[in-house]
Amino acid sequence: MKNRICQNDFFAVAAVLILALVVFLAPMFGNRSADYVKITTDSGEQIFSLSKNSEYTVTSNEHSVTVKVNDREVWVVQATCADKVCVNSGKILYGGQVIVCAPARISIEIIGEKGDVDYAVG
Amino acid sequence: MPLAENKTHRLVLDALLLSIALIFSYVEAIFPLTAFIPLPAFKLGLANVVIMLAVWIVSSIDAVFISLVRVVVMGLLFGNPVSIWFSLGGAVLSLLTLVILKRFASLKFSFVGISVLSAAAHNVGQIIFATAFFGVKTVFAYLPFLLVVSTVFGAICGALVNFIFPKILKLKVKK
Repeated sequence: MKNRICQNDFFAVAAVLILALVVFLAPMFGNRSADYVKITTDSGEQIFSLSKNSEYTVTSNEHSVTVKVNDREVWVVQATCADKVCVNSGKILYGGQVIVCAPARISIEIIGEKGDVDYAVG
Repeated sequence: MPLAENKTHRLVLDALLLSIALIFSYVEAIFPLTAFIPLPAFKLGLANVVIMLAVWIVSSIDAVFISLVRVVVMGLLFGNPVSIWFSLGGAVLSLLTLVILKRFASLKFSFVGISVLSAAAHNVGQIIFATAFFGVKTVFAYLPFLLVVSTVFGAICGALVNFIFPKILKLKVKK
């Protein structure tokens, strides 16, 4: 190793940032015919149709999260967790995209094929 | 390059490095990083500084032992059975990256590049273990943020080591 910052270091940084970008964008290349949103909590899964505009409040691990489905987009309106990462996550609409609330152990995912769906509510 | 002049010297160096790594981990555990970065499971990666130094001051094998012992001790003291696995997963991949870098690209990077790459490997390793634990896709959402933040901190740590390393090489045992 050298002791001064050299050109390869910038390549290394760039490579990692590109990797981050690729992982971030990967869901967009996924399923575009996604029709359902799956909310997973401590107690199990619930699946809702993307076509129905509605608000759902789920509770898990002593936190509650309010999820809104509108115009086939899903986002978190409100959450009782401390960091509010889920609220700031923005809207998801493509198959495979996920919003996670780690303190509440809740994940909200867009899923597509009929095979993913065991039952649907609404 | 290795500093150790004999087996005892090497043993002492390993023990010192392990102690420093443990102290760094302890400080890291106390530091309220979530006040600055509101995301859970983030670490400053200070211990990686020590491991990187170990790889080049002593040897890869010593670094592997130091890293694994540190993970186990910290896990026993401060963690729970689940968190030990995540730390292990990250540490293993990070160590692998360091060993490969030392063996094949030793002169091509400064510690900044080495730190950034091993930090990224650490995150990927953690995510892989977390995915195996909890199920696919969910945890991957974290990875981009982890990678970006770890690149920043990794670069800072790397610059630090760049500065320290020449001074360390000058240390000599008093006869």
